[in-house]
Order: sequence, then structure tokens, then C-alpha cells
Amino acid sequence: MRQSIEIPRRMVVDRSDRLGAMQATPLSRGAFLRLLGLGWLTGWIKPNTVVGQPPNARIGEQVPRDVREMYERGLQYLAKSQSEKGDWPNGGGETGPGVVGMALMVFLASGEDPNFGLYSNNVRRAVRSILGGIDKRTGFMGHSMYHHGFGMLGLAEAYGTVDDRNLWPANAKDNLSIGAGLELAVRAAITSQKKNPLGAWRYSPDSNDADTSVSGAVLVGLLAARNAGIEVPDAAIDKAISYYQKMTSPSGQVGYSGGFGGFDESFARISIASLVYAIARRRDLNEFKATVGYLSQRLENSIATPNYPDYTRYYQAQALFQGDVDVWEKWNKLLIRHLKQSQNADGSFPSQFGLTAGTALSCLALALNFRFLPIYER
Amino acid sequence: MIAMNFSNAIAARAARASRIAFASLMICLSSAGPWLSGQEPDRPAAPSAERPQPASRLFLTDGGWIAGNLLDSDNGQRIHWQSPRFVGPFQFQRERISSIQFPSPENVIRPRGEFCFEMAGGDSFFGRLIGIDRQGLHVESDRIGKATIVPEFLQRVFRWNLGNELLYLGPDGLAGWSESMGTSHWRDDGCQPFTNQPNTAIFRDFALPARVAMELELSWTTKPDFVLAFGVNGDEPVIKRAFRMEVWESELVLQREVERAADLVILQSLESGPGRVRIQVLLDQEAGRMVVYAASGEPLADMLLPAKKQQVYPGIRLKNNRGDVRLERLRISRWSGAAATASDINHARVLLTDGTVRTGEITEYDAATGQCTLVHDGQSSVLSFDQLAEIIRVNNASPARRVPRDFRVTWLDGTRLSGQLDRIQDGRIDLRCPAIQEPMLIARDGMRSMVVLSGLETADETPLPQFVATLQIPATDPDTLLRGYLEESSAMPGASCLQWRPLASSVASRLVPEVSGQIVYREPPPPPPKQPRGRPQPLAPNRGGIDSLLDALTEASKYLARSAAAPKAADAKGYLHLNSGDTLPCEILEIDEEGVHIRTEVTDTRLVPHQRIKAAELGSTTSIPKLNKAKRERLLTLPRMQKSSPPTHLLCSANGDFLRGRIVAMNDRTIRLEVRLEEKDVPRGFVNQIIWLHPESLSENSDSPGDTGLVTRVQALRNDGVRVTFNAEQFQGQVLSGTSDVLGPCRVDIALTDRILLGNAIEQAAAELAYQRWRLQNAVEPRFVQEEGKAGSDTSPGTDSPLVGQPAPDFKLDQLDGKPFQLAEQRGKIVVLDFWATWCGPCMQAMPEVERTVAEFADRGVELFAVNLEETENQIQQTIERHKLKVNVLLDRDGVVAQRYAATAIPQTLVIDQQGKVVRLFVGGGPKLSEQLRQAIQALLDQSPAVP
Repeated sequence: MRQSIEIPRRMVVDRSDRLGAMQATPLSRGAFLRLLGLGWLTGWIKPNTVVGQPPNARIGEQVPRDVREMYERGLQYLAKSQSEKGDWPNGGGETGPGVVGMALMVFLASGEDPNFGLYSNNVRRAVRSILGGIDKRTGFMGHSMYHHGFGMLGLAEAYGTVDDRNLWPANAKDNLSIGAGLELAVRAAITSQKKNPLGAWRYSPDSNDADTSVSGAVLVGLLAARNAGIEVPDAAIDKAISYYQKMTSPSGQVGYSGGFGGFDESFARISIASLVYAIARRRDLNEFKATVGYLSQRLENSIATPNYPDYTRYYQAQALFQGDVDVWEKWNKLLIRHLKQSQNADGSFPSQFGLTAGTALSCLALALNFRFLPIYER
Repeated sequence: MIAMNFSNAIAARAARASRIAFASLMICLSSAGPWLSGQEPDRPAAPSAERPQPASRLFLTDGGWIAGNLLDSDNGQRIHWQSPRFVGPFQFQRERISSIQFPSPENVIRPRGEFCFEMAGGDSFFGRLIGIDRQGLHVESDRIGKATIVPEFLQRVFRWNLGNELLYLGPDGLAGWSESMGTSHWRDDGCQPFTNQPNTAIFRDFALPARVAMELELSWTTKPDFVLAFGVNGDEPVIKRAFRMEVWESELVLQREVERAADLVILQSLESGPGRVRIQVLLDQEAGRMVVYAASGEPLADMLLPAKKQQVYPGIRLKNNRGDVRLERLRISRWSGAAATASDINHARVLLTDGTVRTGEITEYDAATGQCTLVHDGQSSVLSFDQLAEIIRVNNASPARRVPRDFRVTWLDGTRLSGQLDRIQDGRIDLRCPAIQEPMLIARDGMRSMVVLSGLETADETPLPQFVATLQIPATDPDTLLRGYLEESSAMPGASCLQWRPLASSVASRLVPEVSGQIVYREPPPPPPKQPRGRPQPLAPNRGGIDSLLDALTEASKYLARSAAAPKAADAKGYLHLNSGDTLPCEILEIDEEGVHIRTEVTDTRLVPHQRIKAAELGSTTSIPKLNKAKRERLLTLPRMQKSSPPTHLLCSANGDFLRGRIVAMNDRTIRLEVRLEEKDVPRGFVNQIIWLHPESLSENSDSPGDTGLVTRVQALRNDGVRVTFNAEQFQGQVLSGTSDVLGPCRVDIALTDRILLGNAIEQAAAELAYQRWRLQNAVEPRFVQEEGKAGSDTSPGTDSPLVGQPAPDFKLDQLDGKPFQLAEQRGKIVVLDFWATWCGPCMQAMPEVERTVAEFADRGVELFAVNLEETENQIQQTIERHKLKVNVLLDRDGVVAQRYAATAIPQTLVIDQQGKVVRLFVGGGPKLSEQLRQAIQALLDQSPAVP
């Protein structure tokens, strides 16, 4: 069991003087290339890694100001709109433990101290809300396995970070600790998987079929719990990974449900598969390489995908970060640019799942820039 | 073709035409007004103030015009006119006005009164004849009330609608006309059939009797090229053999071609450009004769050319070959076939309803007795009034004809009256007409035009102000175009600071704030001469005044577009071009997230935000190199995959190379550019121009500044190429001043200004500028073929392809097992070819269906071959095994066969019959495919005996 994690101070980075760091480079003559976009091949332009950023500025040394500002505004929106009970009943769209789990992660990923910092009260309320919804007999959190997965993931990220002693009022009885709640949630997920002939998950815990979207929510939750020190049988992980392998085509595309016919281009599913391979430490798999390759070659296609765009970006941020951090850095710029345009005045982000889920998913996609969450560890 | 045969006939006929002696009841049209158009609004008269007609237009003698409304005036020397473009009315001097045109209404009613009265000087009206005595003709008319026509002015009186004689008076729109080929290229333009589409014709059945008299008028705005066929039905052969009035080159001819004979007469020559022709036609279809007169009564042709079997056809057909044509009037009446003799011309005479002609003058008519007195050579005789069809007087020498007149006013019912205008008030005009004894108060209702008859008589003594310009509103196709000048003024609520004084008006008025147009001070410089390669261009004649200005203006936008920064302010270190078209000489210091940092003497502004900028020139004077269309399109096409990450800038190098990307920053040495998500550094010295692509404008709801209606935006174009846009606040001395939201306070000296653009004209002009035309375009979206057969509507689906019915192109391919395959060897069998690929979902769904369907006919000589498109054997093998398919796969490794079968979308499934002919081609699979395929195969098997 993990005892505690040192919380790094929130990084505050000055806006770098990019122009100051820029230097002209001596270039070969006549180097403009007539063909569009191939200029650097002949040397009239150079990758700025040579002259621009210092070589040690690889990961997260410089958090762009836009990210900090957007994230801050998103945080404030979530803090303000949270109910006393710890959930978000008024955001429209999706509500339930999954949404609370996502929002909880936004607070945890902010870098503020979860126990004493600005949002510690929000964190405790969210955790209490998730724990209070767990069926103590089955461990199921309700709504659907989506919610179960994201709720479990939220708890796993809080586990070891949020101090249980301050969680509940002193005289409260029969309340779960984070560890106990997480154990229950894991057990429910494993039970559901065991009953499932495909070794994965679908909306209902009793389903006989499975899909790669719900399964991603549960599997990432399980992996996070395992990383946090909760016992998760290897067999369960292997079985789920094997399901994803079957659903991944050689091209890197990932099917949705059932057998043939699902191989259309879904950046969300490709990202989910890629992410679960990475977190399950199966970077050795061809399927992992295929998914990373697929995503890397189409960075500009996916950012505004019409299908579940915020859900897609949430997973793609993590998948690229785990898959190829250089690629992620490029894509991240696009993400920032895109989200900057879509953030509402009150700090929320619009989404078909409602403002709470939309804000949480968009903030978490940005949170890779801070990478404070354990699940973001590479 | 005919023209060839007629080369001799033309000359002969032309000579003959001039010799023909003509006279008839219909030729006395020398002064006939537009009494045949018969249009009048079918609504009660009302003062114009309550019912404004904004499409009215006042034309000036200097070539200008202004749309608006005629207001009341207390004399005829100052016409008061209110334009919606101006706050207050103008007062135009009569002698500077050319004419006023009023809009045509939609409704049509006929003239009222049985007689048409025609007077010297072109005046005419309709009414009732109530008496004749020494004082003149006493008449009563709905239009002018009771009046007396002065005898010396009378020319002709006739019953214009005698019994059943009038068959048609129009035109009255397109109703009744039918367009050949069922097209709809003609339109109803103010009740007049009009087209500008080539090779279109309209036909109408008028139930023409054997003998008709017609009067018609056609007009055009470009070059006339039409064919008018008389006495036809809808059939081509009949039309070919009819009397036809045609335009041959620049001449209007009458021609007819029957079995073995043809005839042709040149009627008159027509000039290119806008024009009209008004003629009169007598047609006798039984005799095969046609007589044509000019409107003046001058005989033009008398053609007698009967066909072997002469028939009477009921209609008229008008065909436009090229250019445009408009049928302005058409009157058809019965014709007795009798014509007056030549000796009747030049004598006063009367025509009776039975067609006879009596020489002499009617000196008296008493309505009470119904008797008139006809005097000829001192002898008088009595006629019944009802017998009278027409009274013709010959007053050619009368000095009364030369009475000067100020205005001619015409109404839509054909009334034309000229004289002195005393007043316009309460929807009536006070007109003193020399042909009418009494002064008249005539309702303006239904007025068509007012034409000033006596032009500028005295030279204008007042000196012109220094800065005379032309105001155009809007800038293109203006409804208002006025020579004039700005008077000093400041902006105030509801009125701009631009106070315009037309040269033709004695007062000035302010423009309304939201106006869009331009003020042109100087004609733009002529376009640079075209060098060697082209043919020498003829010099356009310099007509001077507004005409040449308009010509120049059409050139101006091209010129300005070509050389956005051609005239340069001296010593500029660079230029910044804004989206609004502003061009600022400035030093470009830096670019960052906020925008472009500049230093300029034009304004104190140091930072211009990105969204306002279109281009920056970094100092070099070279212009953007020309690209051919394909290259330019490629450079400006946004691929679908980049839609969410579009480039924002286009860099242009000194040696003519381009690079798209996103400028992150620029300092005095380096431009940092993000290209496909990677940042690169470019030395600034390599770059001449930077163009902002503004991908946000690709989305539909991109916002443009637009006009709020509260302020007047102006853009001054200085003669050194600088353009500045601001909100005009004051005009003082010769300086126009105001404020720009980008540049701060602005002042423009009109002495240095070529043009001032107003309102939305700024954006319209900006869009024409060289840099503004560098705009991204979305790549074309693919069109997915999803044809699912049209069962129900189409009895044999799969027959749309041009390949169907053709021999199937032969080919040789390897099979998956390595054996060779040739289509020609399958002759005698029914072959089903299925083009597919493993990556194609619909193919993989369709193929098991196709396989199953073909398998049903396996023992009857039907074979399925699945042609795979350019994939590896390994890949194919895996897929076939995974799907447990048992098909013969042919390997179209280079896609040549797919190309030959035009398989641009798959799955494509073909059925080839035993003779090697394609009988069906299905694209896109779909749920109905197997059923359609089964039917197609079954039908083939039913047709032919079983294969042994």
C-alpha cells in the first residue's frame, strides 16, 4: 500500500521571453523551397530545437501561460458549481460518480495541496460524494460502468493523497475510507469482468457483451488502483488487455463492440487502447505501436473530431503523452489553441455531456502540462 | 444559308421597296404617342406624398442621375426631389434636368374613351368627342377632364378600339406565351416579355384572322439579333416558311422562303448598342402578302409571296438569337385588306367605318343630333357620327407647331402632353399645353416620365468650386450619381458630416450616415500599357464628363487590384495592409501574440491587432510574384485534415517562394514560424511579404465591421497609395477628419485624395485588392457514392452506367493462387465481377451476399470473380480466411482494370452476359444488391438456353 505521495509545489513559470531566446541562424543561400511546406529540407528554416529552446526544456519545465489561465478558470468554475454534497447536480447533461471522479481529478491535478490548499474542501466533498454512493455489498457505484470506472479512477488518484482523517465529520459512523471504497470498487469491476464472456465491460455490470469505450473507463480505473497499491489480479488486467488486442487492427484502428464492422476511425477508442497498453506496461505490444503510430500521423485530424470531441481529447492527451512525449508536445499546442477558443466566460467548457463533464475533461486534457496526477506518470 | 442565295436580291429589293407607293388607314402614325402600351396602375389616385415610389429617377443633363421621389414644387423652374440617400431634399434647376422616369406598375388597364386624339408636337390622349365647332374639338377625358383642342394643332382623331377590330393590345406579361423547349429564359419585365438568353423563343396563339394589322415595338440594350415570325403555329417547318422579320448583321430585313421561291427586303439598318424599332405590319395570310411601314408612316416593304398552299396560322413567334430583346408593344387589329390610295396622302380626309375614304374636313359635330358636317371644296355634306372611324387633318405648315414647351409628360395609358409646367402640388401637375385651350390640372397617378424639352439655354456663370467630384451611391451600379462638391459640415445625429451640393441643385443636403458608395475626385491613372505580346489596343474615344469617368472607374478596381501598393509614399520602410484595405507606410518592428508593432508617421498607433491585418511588406519594394491558377489554388487550399489546425500566415520570399504556417513571433532578425506543429526560424531578411490568411473567415459566420448606421465610415485613397479608414466627423476647409478604431485620429486633405469610399463600399473595394484575394479555401469534400438501387422508381436498377450495354473491356490478371485469368476466356458464361478491397467496409459487407447469390446459380454457368484493388496477397489471404469467403480473387495490382471499369467507388459489382457484354453495374452494395443481382442473372438465364 502506498503511504503518501509528496505533493510538489505548484510550478509557477514566468512567461518566457521567446524572442530573446531566438537567434538567427546562418542559412544556405537560395533556400526557400518552391514546394509548400518543405522549406526546412533545404535548410532555410531550421527546427527551433536547435536554436530556440534550451535542450533541457523537454518536459513541463515551461507551462504555457494559456494553460495556467484556462485551467485556473476551469477550476474556479468547478469549485463554484459544486454542491455541498460534493456533486454537480446543476451542470446539465451527465451527473453521477463518474463526473464527480473526473472533477475530483481536476482539483487533485491542480497542484494545490489537497488537504490544506485552496480546494481542499472541494476535494473532500467530492471524495465523500463518491464514497457515499458505493454499494457496500456489491461495490458498484451506480449509474453505469462508465461512472464506476471514472469514480474508481478518481478514488485511486485520491488514495494516499487525501488524508482520510479529515474526510468525515468526527462523529460520523459507517463511512468508508478511501482505501476501503477503492477496494470495493475494484472488487465490483473484477466480478463484472469475470461474468463477462469477453473479459471486458459494458454499461451494465451484468452485461454479456463489451465495448472498448466502457472497458477503457473501468480498466484505467483498475490500473490506477493497482498503481496506487490496491491488489488487482494480473489475470484480470491480462484478460482485458487481450480483449483490446483483439479489437485493435494492424493499422492501429480500434473497434467498438462485437466483431467485424467496427473499424472506423475513432480517435477516442484508439487513444483508449493506446493508453491502457501503456499504463498496463505493455509498450512491447505491436498493437500499442500501431495505435501510437496511427495517432502520431494524424495529429491535426483529431483535435476537432465531431464525435465526442472532449472525451476524445481527454484520452488522446494521455495516450500521446504516454506514447511519444515529443508528439504530445506538438499536439498539446494545438489543444491549447483549440480549447482557448471554446472556453466559456465563466470558465466552463461546453460539452454534450454537460458543463461539469466538459470542464473536467478539457481541464484534464490540459493537466498533462502539470502532470501532477499519479496516472500521468510515465 | 439564305443570305448566300439572296446576295442579289437584297439590292434589288431595297431599291424596289423605296418605290412602292403606300397609303392606308394605318400609316398616319407620324405623331402617334405610346398609346398602344396601355398600361396604367389599377388603383385609385392618391397624392404622391402618401405613396412614395422610390424607384423614380431624375436624370441630369450632365449625365448624372438620382433615385428618389418627386416632391411638390411651386414652379416649374425648380424641381424638388427627395432621395433616401440624403437627409433633405434637393432643388434641381429645370434646365439642368434631362428627364424624370417613374416606375412602371404591375397592373394593366386600357386607355379609356373611344377616341384617340393626336396633336401637333407629339401630344395625344384618349377620351370622348363631344362636339366640333369653330373653336375646335370639344373633348372629355378621364385624364384631363373637359378640354378644347385648338384646331390648328389637331392632326388626327380616330376610334382606337373600333368594335371587334382590336384583337390584342399589349403586351400584358408572359401569360399566353409559351417558351419553346419548355425553358424559362424569358421573364415578365413590367408586363413586357424580355430575355437576354441566347437561342430562346416565345410563341403565342392570337387566333389571328387571315388579315391583320399589327403595330409593334421591340427594344434591346446590346446588339439586336432576333427573328420575328408572323402567322405561325408552333411547328418548325411553318415557322421557316412564314414571313420573318430578322436581323442580318446590322440590318433589319423582311424575308420569306417558300417551296421554290424566296424574297427579301431590307427594312432599315440598326446600330449596335441600345436601340429600338417600331414598325407597322399589314399581313394577309390568304394572299401571302405583307406590308411594312415605319412608325412615321414611311413605307418599307410590300412583299407578295404566296406559298403553293397558303394557310392561315394563328400566332406570332419571337426568337432571340443573341444579346437581348424586349417586346415593348404589340397591337393587333383586324384589317379589311383594303388600302387607301396614294392620292389620299396630303389631303384632309375622313375614314368611315366601312373602309371608305372621304376627302374633306369635318367642320361641325353636334352630339345632340349625332350629325357631322363634312366640307370639301366648298361643298358640305352630312355624315352620321357613328360612321366616322377617323378624322385626319393636315396641319403640316401650321406655325402653332413651333410653340416652345418646357416639359413633355407621359402617362402609362398613352397620354402625352407637353407644355409649360406651372406647379406640382397635391399629386397633380399644372400644365399649360398649347394644343389645349384650357390650363390643365392633371393627376400624377400613372405618370411614366417627364422630359425637359428646352435644355440649357444660358451658360452657367457661377464659377465651379475647386474640388468638384462625382458622388456614386452605391459604388457599383449606382442609383445616384451626382457631380458636385462637399460643403463644410460636422456630423450630427441622423446625418453624416458629408454635405453634398450637386452642381445641378441650388441647395446642398447631408448624406444619411449608413450610406455606401464613393466620391471620386480624380480619375484613377490609366492602366499600365500592355507590353508587346498582345495585339495593339484601339484607343477608346474620350467622351469626357461622367461617361469617361465611369469607364475609368470600371478599370480602376482592376488597376488598384493589380497594384495594391503601386504608388508608394517615399522612403517608406514597409507597408501594413489592413483587412479594410487601409495601406500604411510604416516600419514594422515586431510581431507577437498581440499583433504587429509598427512605427509610422501617419498615426501614433504602435500596435495593430492581428485580426485587422491582411498583409505586411517588410521593406522590399518587389511585389508578390505571379502564380498560375493551379499553383495559387494549391497554395491556398486547406486540406481537410488541417481544418482544425489551419495555417494563419503565408510567407513570401524575395525569390518568389511561399511557405504557409503560423507566425509565433518576429523580431528584427528572425521570424519564428510554426509549420505543421513544428517551430522553425526564418531570417527576416529572406521574407518580403507576410500575408495573414485569417482562416476564421472560412467559417460562415465570420464577422465584418459593417455599418452601425450611427457613423459614416470613410476610406480615403490618397494619390500616393496610402489608404486610411475612419469614421468621418467633420469636413472643414479641404480637410476631412475623424477617428479610426485602429489608427486613432485621422485627417485627410482632399487635395491629395483620389477617392473617398463610403460605408460598405470600403469592404467591397478591399475585397478587390491584391492581398485580400489571398484567401484560404477549404479542400473539396469527397462525395461518397451511396447508391442503393432505385427499385420501384426504376424498373431495372444498375443500368445507369455508360458501361452498360457495352462490351466488357477485356483484361488479364493473376489469381490469388497464381493462375492467370483472362476475361475473354469466360465467353459463354455469365460473369459477375466484384471490385473490392479489404479496407472497404461496404465491400466486406457486400461480398458474402454476392457470393451467396452467385452460388445459387453455380451449376448454370455463372462465375464470380472478386477483383481486388492494389493490395498484397498476404493481406487478401488473411481477410478471406477471416471472413471465410470462397471467391476467386483477381489481383489488380496496379489498379488498371479498376480504372478501365471506371471503378471510382467500391464495391462495384458488374454482371457480364454470355456474349461478353456488360448488362448491369451496381455501385455501393446495399441491402437490395443481392435481390437485384439475382434478378439480373435470372433474366439473362431466361433469355438464353441452358449452358450445356
